[in-house]
Amino acid sequence: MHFKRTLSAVKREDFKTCADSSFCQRNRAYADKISNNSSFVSPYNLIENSIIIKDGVLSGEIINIENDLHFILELNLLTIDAARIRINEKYPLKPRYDEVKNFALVNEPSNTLDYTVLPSQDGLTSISFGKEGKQKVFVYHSPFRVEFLFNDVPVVTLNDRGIFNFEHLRKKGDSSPSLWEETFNGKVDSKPNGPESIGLDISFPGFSHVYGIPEHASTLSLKETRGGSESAYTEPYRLYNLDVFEYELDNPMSLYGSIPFMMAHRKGASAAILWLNSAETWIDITKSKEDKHGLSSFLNFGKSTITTNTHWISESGIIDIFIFLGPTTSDIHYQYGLLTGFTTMPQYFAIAYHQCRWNYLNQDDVFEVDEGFDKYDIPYDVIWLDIEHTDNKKYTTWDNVKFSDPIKMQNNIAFKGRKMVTIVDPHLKRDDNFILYKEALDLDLFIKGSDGQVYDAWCWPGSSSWPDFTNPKTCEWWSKKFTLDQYKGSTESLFIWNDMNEPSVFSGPEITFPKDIIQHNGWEHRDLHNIYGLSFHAATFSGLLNRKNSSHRPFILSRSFFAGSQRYGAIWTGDNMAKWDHLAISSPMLLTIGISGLPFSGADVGGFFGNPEPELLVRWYQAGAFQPFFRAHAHIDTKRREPWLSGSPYTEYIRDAIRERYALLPLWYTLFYETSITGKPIIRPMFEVYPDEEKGFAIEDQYFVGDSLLVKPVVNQGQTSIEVYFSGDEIYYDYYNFQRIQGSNKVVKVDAPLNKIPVFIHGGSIIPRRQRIRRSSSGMRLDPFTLLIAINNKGEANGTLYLDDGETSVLRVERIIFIGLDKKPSKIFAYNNSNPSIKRELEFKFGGIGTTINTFTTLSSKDVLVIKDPKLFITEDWTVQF
Amino acid sequence: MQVTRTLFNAAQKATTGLFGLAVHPNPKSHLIKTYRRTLETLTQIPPTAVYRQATEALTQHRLSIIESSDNIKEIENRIGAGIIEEIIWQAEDELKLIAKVKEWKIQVSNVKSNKSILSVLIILSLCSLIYATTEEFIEIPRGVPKSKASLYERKGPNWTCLDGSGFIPYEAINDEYCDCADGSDEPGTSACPNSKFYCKNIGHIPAYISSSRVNDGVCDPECCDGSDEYDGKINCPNKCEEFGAEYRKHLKEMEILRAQGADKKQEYIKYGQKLKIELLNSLDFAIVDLNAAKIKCADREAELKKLEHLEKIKSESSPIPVKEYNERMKKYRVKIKGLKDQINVLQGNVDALSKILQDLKNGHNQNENDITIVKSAITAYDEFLDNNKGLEDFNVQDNEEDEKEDEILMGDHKVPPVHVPEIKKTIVDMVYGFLGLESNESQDRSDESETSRAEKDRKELENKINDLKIKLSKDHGKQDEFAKLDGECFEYDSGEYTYSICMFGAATQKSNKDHSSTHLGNFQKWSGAQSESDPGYYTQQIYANGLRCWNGPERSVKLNLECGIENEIISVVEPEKCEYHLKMKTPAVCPDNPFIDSNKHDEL
Repeated sequence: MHFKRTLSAVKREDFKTCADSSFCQRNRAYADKISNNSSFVSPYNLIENSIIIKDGVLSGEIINIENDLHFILELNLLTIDAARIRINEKYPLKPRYDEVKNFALVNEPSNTLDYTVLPSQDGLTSISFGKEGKQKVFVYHSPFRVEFLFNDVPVVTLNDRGIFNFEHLRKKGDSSPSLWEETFNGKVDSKPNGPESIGLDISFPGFSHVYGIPEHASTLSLKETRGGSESAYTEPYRLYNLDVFEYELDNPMSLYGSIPFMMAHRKGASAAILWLNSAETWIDITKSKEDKHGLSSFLNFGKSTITTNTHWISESGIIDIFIFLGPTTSDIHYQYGLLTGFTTMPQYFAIAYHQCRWNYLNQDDVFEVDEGFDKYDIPYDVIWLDIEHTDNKKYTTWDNVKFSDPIKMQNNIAFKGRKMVTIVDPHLKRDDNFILYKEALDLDLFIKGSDGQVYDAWCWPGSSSWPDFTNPKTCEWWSKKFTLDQYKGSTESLFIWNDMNEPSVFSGPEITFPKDIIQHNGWEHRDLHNIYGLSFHAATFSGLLNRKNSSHRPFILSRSFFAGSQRYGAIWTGDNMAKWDHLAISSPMLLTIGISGLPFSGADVGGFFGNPEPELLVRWYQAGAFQPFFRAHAHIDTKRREPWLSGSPYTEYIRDAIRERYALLPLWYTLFYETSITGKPIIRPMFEVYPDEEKGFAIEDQYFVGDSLLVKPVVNQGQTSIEVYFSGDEIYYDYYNFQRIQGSNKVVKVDAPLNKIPVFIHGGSIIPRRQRIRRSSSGMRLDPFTLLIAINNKGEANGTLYLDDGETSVLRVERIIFIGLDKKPSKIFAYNNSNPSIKRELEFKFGGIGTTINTFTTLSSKDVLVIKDPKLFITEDWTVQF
Repeated sequence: MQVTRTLFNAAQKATTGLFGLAVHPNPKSHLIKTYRRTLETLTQIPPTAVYRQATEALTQHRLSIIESSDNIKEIENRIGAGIIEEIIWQAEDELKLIAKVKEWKIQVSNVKSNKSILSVLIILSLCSLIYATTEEFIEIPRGVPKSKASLYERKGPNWTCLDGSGFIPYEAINDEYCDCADGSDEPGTSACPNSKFYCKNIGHIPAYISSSRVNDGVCDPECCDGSDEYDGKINCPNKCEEFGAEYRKHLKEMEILRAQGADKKQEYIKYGQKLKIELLNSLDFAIVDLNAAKIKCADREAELKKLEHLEKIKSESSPIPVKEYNERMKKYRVKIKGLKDQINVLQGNVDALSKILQDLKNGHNQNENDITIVKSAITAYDEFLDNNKGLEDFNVQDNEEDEKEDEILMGDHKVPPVHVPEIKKTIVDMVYGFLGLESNESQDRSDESETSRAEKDRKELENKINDLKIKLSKDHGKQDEFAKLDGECFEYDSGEYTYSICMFGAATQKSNKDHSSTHLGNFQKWSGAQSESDPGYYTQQIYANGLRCWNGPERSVKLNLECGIENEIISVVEPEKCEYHLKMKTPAVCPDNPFIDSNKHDEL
């Protein structure tokens, strides 16, 4: 008797296409109508005499001359070198949703007073703003069009093609019934407000590459979405947080999170926008050579006259757009960070290695896995428990047969400096004996169905209800549930994993909430779907902050995210598969999420679904060791795959990859600190480090860690050598043997045996390492540092090291390695800068022969100088003199 | 001296401060006596036994301290196990326990003699360990055991890495900087990733720990003397006495357990071997009987042929000849078998289907997108159940139909009444036989022909021989120690399910909620090790080819056996979907020798 295994990929028919979503279809059709009619003129005009410019704000009234409807325009010039445009109906039938800013932004940005209104021209209002007046905005009145310029070169244009469309709220009798109720896969959306979508085209003149709008299993440089070429999509990129089972690659379908942030970059300029809207959103992208406003005359370089046109369509809400004018990507990251917040500095353990599986069965299992790492001398910091650890999927409870003594279990791990993470999902089992459910019910904190009753649907525990985290009362209540006395069986070593927060609803349309259910203040879920995950993540963050006597930083992993999620913890790319192409796509996905302001991200190492062959597992560990969030995870139906189960030599290779991560933790931690104050991504696409090198603009299979390591994950079976693109006129050094490679914007084929991931030190950088093996990061806290100094063409190098717990005063430097010296120094001295008169001669080796740099290679390069134990403290100022 | 001290002590210490522990008048000589007796008694225990080694080491260590000092305070301090009266109490306790351990001397005779060389070596190393405590002045780099001290001897200003990879100043040993590729220059620090640190652990078992544990701020139990944490990050108290005592207690318990287990195992072995002999005897007898039956059959057949010949002559008009009947019967047999197979297949389908739906209904919703399928499956299943209420009668009905069919067939051939009863009876028997039922006409066999009886005897004997051969071919362990367990069933209640395993038979999982039962597999093989000669080979069984999981593999069971006095399943886990790991205690895997082998102590 054989039953066929159901091995299917994503069920596309479960999810809407643009054609299945009437507002997307309407707006797309509108765009088509316009592009097919060259004489079309947008009906939206800015009423000239309504314009008032005051305190950094241009306000005015827009009229749709076709139906005589009025809209309020507000253009804010911000202190953060950005601008904001808001458009809403002047007299809406009822208020339109405008609260997403309360969740995504740190606070309302303030307007700059540093602006100049330029001499008026007919039908055009122009203002320069910012410190040097390099930023300008041109507001054209009829039709309404806005152009942003940097150094007099236009970089972002709104309504350039005239696709702006604002569907006003109306009474049901006034319009065609098809605009109201909608059905998909047999599930009815009652749409009580009827059509209320907004659409706008945003163009990036002169830019042929745009990036961002995660989360999609797509390319780094975004593709065109209206066909035309073989690689182009025919569907728009969709932003609608969904739990997509076994997602398809190279596809604009929406996934678990969404950040409506898009960045355009070209040689000499970068610009970006944030489309602040939490309703379902679709984005069409096309690239054109024509230039109907003759902009190419502005672009003095003439090389690239390609313009990227984007069309943004949201189901409801208002138009609220931020325009960041750069001019560099670093500027944009900083501007965006000031607006939506920077990554909260994580604890050290959170950036180390995490061991997860659905599920570690019981406390003996946890004990054995923990012991396994010690037995094989593989470091790890956190062991995770998935849903099966609970009493019948009632989160914050324990299955008291399998986990009879959770405190002892956590203490046994904590004793070795390790932590535990348990899963807490937003769906609460409808069971009166479940205290969280009972309390939320009694306090009336649950989301209501369109019928006004508590919404009841299906998820892991069966019948469940979902607290409404957009209600401040819910957050206040939830944030008290993680203290040690409330979360029974928890200890200070326990941290949290928020899964299924798109939210995932097994019985719902597209596996999520129906759009017409009701949230706080009577808003339809439709208006704020994409911030449900963030609101839950934020509430849990407050919960961990409230933990008694706890001074430690929270750690919460979330699957769903939105602009601003970086303030609350890490995210991961959800339920990927144990396949080579899923390993490959983790790079562009994480790079995209990283440049969109959320750098603390990772992909399940090994792939969630399916069983990776040992080679794939090794390659995945190697890649994961060089991604910001490093966690292995596996589905309950998969074979066990803890590192030692692969056997020799794979186990050793995996161990080496994990150890390499630990050796480089000082670098990673420094980069996390950097992003927490600058917003810069941790892993960076080529164009972030070499912004003027056009050949690198679409490269997505290699990246820099910070600016100092160039990483090229091997993502093909059986591959033993690989082509690496070396940018710039700069020296690179092989990370393992320090061999020199002269970069000059060329591709070099390098060895990539299974025991290592190709990594190269960028000439000019100093990399702090800790070479001692420990079983967890906490054991390394007081270990000495090795400084890898890789000299560039000019004989210089610099780097930073961030240390932060106040116990670091005795940290010494174990060795300093200079790479790239051209001659042997005769003597080397060190002195403390506070007392330069006392010089000490240092012991050194030129050529570094016989010195182990890590566990699996030996130095062989002749231009390497190793200074042994210079007796210098890392926290003091000192000089080493040749 | 002693007297003086006793008086002094008595004056100083009127009470021990411990309830129920009187001040001892002459502790030193008493202790020396007790320890000497202990050491003497210990010689009756095999030298390979860890218990003996550990106890000997401790006793000698304490004895040497006592003999080297007359100051009780100093003795107490150096032993570090409380006041002298407590030490006496411990010593007496130890001595008493040895007496118990001695009782298992009988089993000791089973110890293989090839261990003696090894044991000498171990004792030597233990002795050196004890000396190490008194001869601390010898210069040994930190983290190096005495046995390797010579490798680190200072022979000049420089020292060569043990693997020859480097030539470094002697001072560079343990200088917190890794110079040698093999890590040999840093035995006492964490600087090299591949070195090992030696913990003396006096009072317990010495251990090597990975360099990654040195000065990592964690008091590793493996290094109970705390010697691995010396940089002041953390203060690790010496817990070796405590751990050692615990460990020895554990050893004692284990050895008691193992001794009792070994006794039981002997019973099992006797049983198994007896059974084997019986089976072999039965086989011999059966073979002899079979030969006789064959001869008888041949005789009968010859006679029958003669009769047939006569009958043929008697009446040429005889209806369907016997031979034809036989052929027909063969056909019927095939047909019936076919029908029966079909029933089995159908029943199998229904079982499997029911099981799958049962699974679905029980909440198998890990594949979240299939929830609608799950729901509709549940509905379909309920309908299916309603529609198949008469399912149990299926067999019976079919029987009746078959019988009818038989009658019809026979009617067609107009069998003369004189032949009908016998032939029909044979067919009916056959039908019942195939369907596994008993014929209600079985008593009425008086006129069964001698021929078929002889034939039947022969068949039975052949079956019996086959059976015996199957039984004899079963792998019941090296010494047939598992024969006793063959067919015995054991259960384990995990809360949600009760797991049962019938040794060498089937493993099942029964739901405690609805009592539905799932087949987890049949005994397939021993799998504790690759080769039968490996002692671990008979510690694990595989039960395979159980019911296929919904969207997964066939269920299977790994049964891990460990020594225990009783046969009992102690845990069940499902580390991977549909792969069940059971742990069971049984005397059948207890070692023949109850004393724990010193070179295997880490297995505990």
